[in-house]
Amino acid sequence: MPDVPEAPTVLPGDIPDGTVWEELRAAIAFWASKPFAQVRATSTQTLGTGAYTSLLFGAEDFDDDPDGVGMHSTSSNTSRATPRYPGQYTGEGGAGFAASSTGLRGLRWAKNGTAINGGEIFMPPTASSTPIYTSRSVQMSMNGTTDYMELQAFHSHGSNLATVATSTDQPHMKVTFERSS
Amino acid sequence: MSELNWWLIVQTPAGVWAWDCGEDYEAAIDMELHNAARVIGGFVEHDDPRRWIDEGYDIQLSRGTPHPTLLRRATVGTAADLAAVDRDAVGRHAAGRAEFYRGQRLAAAVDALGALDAQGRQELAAILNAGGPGGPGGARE
Repeated sequence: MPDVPEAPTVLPGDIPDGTVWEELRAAIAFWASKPFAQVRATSTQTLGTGAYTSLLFGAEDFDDDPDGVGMHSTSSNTSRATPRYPGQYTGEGGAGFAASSTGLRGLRWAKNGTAINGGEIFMPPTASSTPIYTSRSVQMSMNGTTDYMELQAFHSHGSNLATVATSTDQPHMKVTFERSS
Repeated sequence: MSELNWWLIVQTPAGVWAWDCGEDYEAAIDMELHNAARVIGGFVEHDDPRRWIDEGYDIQLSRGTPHPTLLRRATVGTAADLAAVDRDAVGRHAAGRAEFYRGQRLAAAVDALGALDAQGRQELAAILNAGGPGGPGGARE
């Protein structure tokens, strides 16, 4: 787990040496390119009825952090954002569902497989169009090692129902580092 | 345990369960499998998650080995354990869910009816007299 660089303390009378300047440079560089990922689903995902399902994201628009490793994989655990820098992260996202008027549609955030309080939306669907919903914006504390966040989708259509994955309608998840503690 | 496996996770007031359902997604979303998991967990029969929260229930399907903290709390099993659940109990649970969905469809139809004007009701009557939207023989899914 990499550390979040801290700005060095320089007391009155101190003459900053090379180490201090390097620490300052590292701190500025971190905040100028803080961890951030925006991922999308480019194919539909069939969802069973009456259960939340973690959305899979097979494409990355961005998955950047200062040491270049990133928090998302397109080959393993593709539903997860697993930040490597400890701190507070904001999650945002959205997804759409195939047309159907039965039941409810929901999106929620989960951390480590448990739903986040205040992280859920429910909307009535429409039969004549493919409704696209935005999730709540939530902030979660991540430990930088094992913690992960997922965007999960729900429907109570009564039988399987697919997400929508056409260009601008594609499900997406955006995770942004906000603060170090 | 493969990171590509799907896990069915049920959380209820009675405990937490996590079943490794393998890599086959179509198999993992099978309603029979979910009904068996819900029976083991003593899950409520309805599918209204707005009430789940208050009643302490949750069911989710997630890819990859669950977080170690969740796994430590959970009773861990596989799809084979779900296949061994008493079929009669699973059938009763499935019937309860089907009744919930029937009620939902009826409520949606009543809402839609309430929004129709006189002309709309006449047109709807003509559709029903012709056998309904699914044609002669009944409703469509």
